[in-house]
Amino acid sequence: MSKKHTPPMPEELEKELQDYYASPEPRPEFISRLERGLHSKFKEQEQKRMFGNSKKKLAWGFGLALAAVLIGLLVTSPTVVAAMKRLLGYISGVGLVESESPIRILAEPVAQTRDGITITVKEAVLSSDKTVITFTVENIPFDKLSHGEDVPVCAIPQELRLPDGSIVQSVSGNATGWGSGYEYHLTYASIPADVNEATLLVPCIQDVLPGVLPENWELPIRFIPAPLGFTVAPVTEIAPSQEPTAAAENPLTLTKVVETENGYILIGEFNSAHLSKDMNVTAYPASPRIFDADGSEIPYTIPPELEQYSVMNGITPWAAQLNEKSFRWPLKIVVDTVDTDAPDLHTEFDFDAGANPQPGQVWEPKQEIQLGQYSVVLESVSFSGTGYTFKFQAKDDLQIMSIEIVGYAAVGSGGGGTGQGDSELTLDYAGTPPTGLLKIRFGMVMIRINGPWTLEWQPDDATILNLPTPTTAPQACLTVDAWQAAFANPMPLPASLTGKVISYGRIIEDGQNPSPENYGVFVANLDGSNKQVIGQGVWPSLSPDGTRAAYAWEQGLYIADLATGESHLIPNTNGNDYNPRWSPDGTRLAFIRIDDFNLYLINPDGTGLQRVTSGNEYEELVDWTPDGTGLYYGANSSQGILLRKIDIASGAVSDFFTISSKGASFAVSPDGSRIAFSERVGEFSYQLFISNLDGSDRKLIGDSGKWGVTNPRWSPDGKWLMVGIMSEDTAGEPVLGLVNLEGCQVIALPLEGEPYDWRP
Amino acid sequence: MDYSQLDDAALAKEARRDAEAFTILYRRYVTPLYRYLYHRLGNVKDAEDLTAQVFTDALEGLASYREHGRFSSWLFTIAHRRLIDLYRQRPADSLHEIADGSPDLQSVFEQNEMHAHLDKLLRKLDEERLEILRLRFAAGLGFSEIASLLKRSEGAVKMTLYRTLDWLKTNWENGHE
Repeated sequence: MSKKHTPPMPEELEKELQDYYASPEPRPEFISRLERGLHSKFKEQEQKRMFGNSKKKLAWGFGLALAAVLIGLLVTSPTVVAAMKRLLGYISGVGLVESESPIRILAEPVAQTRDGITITVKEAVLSSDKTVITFTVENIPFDKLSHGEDVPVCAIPQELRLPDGSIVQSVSGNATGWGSGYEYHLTYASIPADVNEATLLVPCIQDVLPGVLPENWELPIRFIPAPLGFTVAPVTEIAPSQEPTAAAENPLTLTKVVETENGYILIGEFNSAHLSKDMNVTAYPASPRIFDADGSEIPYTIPPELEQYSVMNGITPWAAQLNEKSFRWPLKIVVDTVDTDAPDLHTEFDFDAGANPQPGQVWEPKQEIQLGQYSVVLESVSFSGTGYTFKFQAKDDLQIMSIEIVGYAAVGSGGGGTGQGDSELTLDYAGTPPTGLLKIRFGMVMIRINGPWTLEWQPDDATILNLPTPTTAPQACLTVDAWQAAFANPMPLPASLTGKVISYGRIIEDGQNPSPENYGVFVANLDGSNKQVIGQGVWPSLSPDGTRAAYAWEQGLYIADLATGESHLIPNTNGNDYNPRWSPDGTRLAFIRIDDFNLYLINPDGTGLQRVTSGNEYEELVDWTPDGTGLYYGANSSQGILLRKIDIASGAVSDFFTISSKGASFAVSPDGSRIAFSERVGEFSYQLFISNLDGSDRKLIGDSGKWGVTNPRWSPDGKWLMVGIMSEDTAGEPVLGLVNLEGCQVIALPLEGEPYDWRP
Repeated sequence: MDYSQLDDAALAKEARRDAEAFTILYRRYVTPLYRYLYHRLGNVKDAEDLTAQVFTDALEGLASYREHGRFSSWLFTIAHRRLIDLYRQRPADSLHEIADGSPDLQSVFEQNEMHAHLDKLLRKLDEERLEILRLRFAAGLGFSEIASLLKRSEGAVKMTLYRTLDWLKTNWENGHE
């Protein structure tokens, strides 16, 4: 008989409810579209934070207009291109500048400290077309940041005041932050050549409530001519399309090339105007991809000063920094598809709902509507009583994003589609919905246009630079190829490799639908045997004798006894405590408390709570020193993460070296002589290194491209590294991998997750 | 620091300055939130629309997120606010009509006999119990999160859920017609 006749067991019922509520999954294209939209919104807010809202919009708008005129000239007039050829230079961190007139720089850095907060003007570059100022704000106490009060936080822009009292406003900029501080990189209009002094006005510290930290900072700065060694890289203008494509001009163009010390920066545009003669559209191209002559994709970064999110006059700028000079030429630059909104496709059509439509009534007009060169069919209309739902099916790669009934403002509207040209749009009305003959107007219409659009480039001296052999691979042990081979053909573990590992990862198999509660802490032997799930938790640490696990979870830090499987909350810890690490003798735990972002110690029974660091470094705990007298930690700064050690008894701090990446994780070798760290290079690229603690003798161990390689952990004998590897092969879950530091051997373990400790 | 290992509160703090931290929060919650809204609203387009609105509100309101509250509760509070807005815009009965009689929801359940059966039973529950089921099973929230969201004690939430499960078990055969 059917299962439903028998009352389910309680756990079966829970499972049924979970299944019931788990479906359907959101559409992947919806998730990714929303993610992109939120990212753009974030950037927009960042701009607002930097430039304020009301009056600064004018300055920003003016800047945009000016830039648009400039770019317009560059695009439309070859003579202007030629004329400007000698004028432009590229300064790293500043961008393109007019370089014919003398460049000036900051005479000396200027710092001011008030109430422990330090603002430093670090750099200034002045050309005849712009002024770029870089300053940092450091040592902001965590408790002074806005913590949810309904008061607007500081978002007033920073201006420059010239000696005659005139004010220069910033027109663009970008910012980076590292917890206790931030760095601003602001571009202002040019300052007259005879003005060599200015005052940077910082009205308040960003994201801080009014009045809690010093305000109205004034930093006097001086400018001097740039010294002889100051590098302004020459910019080569590329003449407009030498090889016109068959019918229309190529919308993808390369306009400038900067030759840097170790590579090239390619700068170009995607011009919507050349996309289609019939349409006046703005195209949003995907970032170009770059290939060498053999078809291998070349990774690149986008210099922040050249990264632009705006589209002006239908032109989307792009820039790519290649960090090599030798390639198999020529390079091929490709844009695969563009999304366009088609404002000129606005069309109206009539729909007769009759005088008295009934809820539930459905019409199937199957009416074909012409939208420029596209056509769309109105499949059906339904009336809900409060509004109408329109279903369209397009023949082309088109999606109707919004519609309106002319003359009636809807109070609610929604829409969706599967990306196959279908759209379903609902309009709801507050009072009685409109009836009778309705005029429907299309709002936003998106069109995907498939390319590809390509262009080729090589430098004039390409033959000299052409590579005789395939690209020199970095001498890493853990490479994409090595990992794929290891993953595809798992080898038995060498007999010498034993021990237990504690990991964070999936603790409940849930197929393709991972949910947060299915992740937690587990312990297993290296060969995958004796897997013991501890439960939900993060940041696990295994005691040196392998009998107890410490981890962080909702109420604080917990200890699990592996023999009994029981866990208990450590008294005197709270939900803001993280990353517990066992001392080498197993008697204490070090951890981070983000109430104040400092390092603390506590005994496993909750006694002996002790704060080890103070100040505003927003520390990241690495581990104990092997002798248990100190802690290694990472301190966040504008340069990256500084590896430091604090002596627990004396509080004395020693510095080692800085890793210039935000996404880093570290581990100190068991003998305390070496450090392993994974570093994120570029946006989604990871490299794994080992070095001495002072950063010397740095050796590349893993170069895994866009795969995530995280949480390096040393084997007890210091000869192997264990890492969590997230690759296309691992179906979205990191897998534990080993790499031998002497023989370069790579082994994929039969365990998912990210490792936290490897004990004998 | 590997952001993916940070908990919500720490990520929310980082997310004020770093888009990547917000992206991780987004990825962590987009599916639970969507599932929850879908089961409130009964159709894909409203669920998508509100999911997008809630995350946009969250992004704009990060500065007003209170660290002592849970991020999940805060996010679902925004969702509740948005749902109320929607209910104000549309008469409640029309929304109920959507949730109960939506072709979307029906076609999903018709594919699964067990779900169809459960669906019939769930229609007999009051809104409070349904809400706890949705928050627990669709949104995947813990008891304490549900408690702080619904402004009840954790014990009260647990009791309601267990009694609801008990009721479902007892009435299992009644739901079958």
